[in-house]
Amino acid sequence: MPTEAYLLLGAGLFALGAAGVVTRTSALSVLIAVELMLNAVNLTFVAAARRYAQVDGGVIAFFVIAVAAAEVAVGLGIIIDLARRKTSVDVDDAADLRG
Amino acid sequence: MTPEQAIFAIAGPICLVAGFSAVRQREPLSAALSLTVTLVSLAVLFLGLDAPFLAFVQIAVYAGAIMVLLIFVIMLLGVSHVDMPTLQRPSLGLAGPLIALALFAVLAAAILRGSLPAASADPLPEDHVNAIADLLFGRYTFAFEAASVLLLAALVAAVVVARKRSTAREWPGR
Repeated sequence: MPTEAYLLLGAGLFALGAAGVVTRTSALSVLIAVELMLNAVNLTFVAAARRYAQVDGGVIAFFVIAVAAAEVAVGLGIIIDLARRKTSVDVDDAADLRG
Repeated sequence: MTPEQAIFAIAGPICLVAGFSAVRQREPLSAALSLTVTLVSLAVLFLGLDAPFLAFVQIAVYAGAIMVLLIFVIMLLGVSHVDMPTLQRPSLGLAGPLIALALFAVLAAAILRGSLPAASADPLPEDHVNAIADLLFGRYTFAFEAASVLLLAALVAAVVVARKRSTAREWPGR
């Protein structure tokens, strides 16, 4: 398979995730869309690692997974706190600091 | 058709369709399960890309641990479409599909019109796990240690943020 095919697939997933991040209202849906973007990037790293026969891409993808785990833990903590304070997880409800 | 092409032809479309479903589903639980399908099909793609270790890390950590945590919180909050009458911000209209299409068009143009540096002639090292371990504890030791500190900090932060507030008085008006 040409590397471009994997890059295009990654670009498609990334675009879907980006659209989800900016348009969805539920904080949970935004978190899911962010996960989609991270995975699109991982696919690109792994495809590049294979193309250039260097395992570094795989190692970076490994770090992305570790950072995603940390991000999900903190994000879900914030969502639980938001649900407790606002009784909803709508991101537009959490706009107390807006000027 | 090589095995890799067969894997791409099957897992690629599943991955895209499930990803689309993950951002379009109104029900958070359905979106999370769609995302799980995306993650598993990505793991299959990693197998086709000669990265078996990452494929299994993807299944164990992402599709396993992270998704269980996400679904656990969705169940805990009991959020359903009743709590979220609108799928997206009403004022945005068609913005979502437009953003996705525009971003994809720019990225696809860059990928198709640009040219990647020539591929390396040698295959990936046969001993994939050993090669990753060599890099992880060689060139990337500092990043590896930093990741462990990051995970610890995230753990503590999650506990602090999500615990019940006994000091609600500090936040008048809540």
